[in-house]
Amino acid sequence: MNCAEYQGLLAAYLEGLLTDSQKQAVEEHVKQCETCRMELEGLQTLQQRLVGNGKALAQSDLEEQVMNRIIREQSARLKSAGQAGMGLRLRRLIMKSGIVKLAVAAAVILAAAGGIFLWTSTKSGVALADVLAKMEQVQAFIYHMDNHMKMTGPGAAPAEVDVKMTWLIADGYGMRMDASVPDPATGQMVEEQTYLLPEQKVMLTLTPAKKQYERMMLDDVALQKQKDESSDPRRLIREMLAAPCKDLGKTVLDGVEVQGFRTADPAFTGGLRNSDTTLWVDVKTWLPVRMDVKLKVNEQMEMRISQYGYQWDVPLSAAQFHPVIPPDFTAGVADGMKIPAMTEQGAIEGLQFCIEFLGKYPESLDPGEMMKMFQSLQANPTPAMKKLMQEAAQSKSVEEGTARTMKAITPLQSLMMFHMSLVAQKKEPVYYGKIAQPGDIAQILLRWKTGENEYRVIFADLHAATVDADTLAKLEAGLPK
Amino acid sequence: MMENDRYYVERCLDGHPDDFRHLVRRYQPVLLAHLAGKLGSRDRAEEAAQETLVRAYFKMDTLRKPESFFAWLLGIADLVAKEEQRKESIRRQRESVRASVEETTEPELSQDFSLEAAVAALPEAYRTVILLRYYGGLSCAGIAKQLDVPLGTVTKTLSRAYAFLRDSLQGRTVSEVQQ
Repeated sequence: MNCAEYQGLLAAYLEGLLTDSQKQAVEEHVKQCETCRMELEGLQTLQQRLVGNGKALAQSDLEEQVMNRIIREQSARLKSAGQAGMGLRLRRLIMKSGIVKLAVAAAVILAAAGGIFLWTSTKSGVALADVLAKMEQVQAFIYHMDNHMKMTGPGAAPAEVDVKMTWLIADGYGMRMDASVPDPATGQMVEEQTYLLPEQKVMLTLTPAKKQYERMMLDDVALQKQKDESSDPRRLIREMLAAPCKDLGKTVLDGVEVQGFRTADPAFTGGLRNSDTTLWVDVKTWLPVRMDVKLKVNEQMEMRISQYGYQWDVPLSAAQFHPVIPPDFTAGVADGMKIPAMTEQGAIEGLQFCIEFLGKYPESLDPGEMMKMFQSLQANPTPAMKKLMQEAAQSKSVEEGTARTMKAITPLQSLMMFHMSLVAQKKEPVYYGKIAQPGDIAQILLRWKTGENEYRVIFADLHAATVDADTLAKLEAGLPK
Repeated sequence: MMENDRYYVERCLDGHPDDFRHLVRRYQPVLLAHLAGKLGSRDRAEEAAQETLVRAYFKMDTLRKPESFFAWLLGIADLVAKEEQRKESIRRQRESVRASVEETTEPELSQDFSLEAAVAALPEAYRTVILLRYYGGLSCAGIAKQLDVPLGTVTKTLSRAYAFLRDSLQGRTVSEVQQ
């Protein structure tokens, strides 16, 4: 080998990449050759300089600066982001993150539950009673409802979902909801119409853009609830009458003189402590003009529901409430799914689900806590959870995967909603999931009041019984501290 | 445990922005070296590196091949640097900084601008290998894997890069050397 050839090996030599014999040859050569020795020393000096420079640059605290800027810009961008950009992010999120799937499922339930709980029970009030009386005379009306949901999570990009709805309610005919919802697969807004069909115990949704229909099955209790109460604003007034309500006085809203009422009673929103509801009523007609509900489910999820654009006593025809499924429409993936039952049986199935998936009862039935629990379950999946996640991942389409997950967690939704309904109805529910041992036939797990001196109890082995106050006291006294 | 670039890119796209941290950590020295050489000052390089990383994060969904994150990132850095240079008409300043550094016989360890400038002036193929080896903390085998070339090519490229750097540091430009 000549000097040029030796010098060609020096870089590899410094990297320790030469064979033993090559290495030895290089070392022998530089001992004898002044030029090549100088060359090697020159390279070593350069290398040290590069290493030193690299180390110095690694010490910069760019990391925190960059991460802080990303977080700041992310929220700024989200504020100004149009539906399209959001849709993209949403699609990516829904496609890949099971947590978000569940969060969306929970939020949909909460939106429904919010709608339901905003409107129950009666008690005497002052001005609001007049509003209710007035509204009860109305035969048919239309109003708009916007639902805005924002989710943030540890290590998750914030996601916002907007659903716009128009409700048609007519005493003689029933209800219909026309909605604009982001499609989970594309993020595009998709129009759909939902009808409540009491005779068939079905809630039917038509999606013309996809030539698709989906029938959600209702059980008797859910049907009754939907029929009686489906987002009928009249229930709001009944509910507000029962809650401690603040009179906000008079002001002008969109050129109309209105009077405001406000409540933060948790019972009003199914037990969510962080809620704030404002209702504005036209002082001339005593009919609502606008309602806003702000809900903070937990640190990660916030919702805003607004109702506005009420049109009272509008002419609505029977045909508007009787859907026809066009012959070329096909059934969507959610077709045939059950709407979570807000019944004792539904709650028991939800508790069974927890045993199967968690191996224990959840510590709390608060929606925020339940979501947190599910997130940690996804991070550290039990075998049952792993199976569910794998099944969802193997689905043919995003919609199918989402539908599968939704279907699988229906019992959990039933449980959560049943508990929310107990809170909303002020039935004094108490839940002992923290201390109850699964399978214990004598240990009380969940109880609520069903009448004067009468309680219903679900035991830790998931059988249920009705007991009187004395028996309940004994049962609760026997609980481990 | 350190995962590959693709893993972290996917994580970010799946809504875990905090995992971008790992990519920042991995490529911070590379970017700084690359940009300091181009912009002539540590402060400017830091600003530009920050801007590059933030842009990269928000453009991540346009990255077609997550495994080529590094090359893509350098492309963004080049754009940012160009904008910076245009904005500040930095070229003159860079010359003056370079001159001042060359006057001091022993440059501070953390402010080796002449070296950074020499690295920045390398033809792309050589620069990439130097950046990955000394600022990206990769071994030659790691570079071969990342660039999908034989190990021998990496050591040869490195060897040529050293020659360019030494000439450049002695005041000759790459084009003079090539001639």
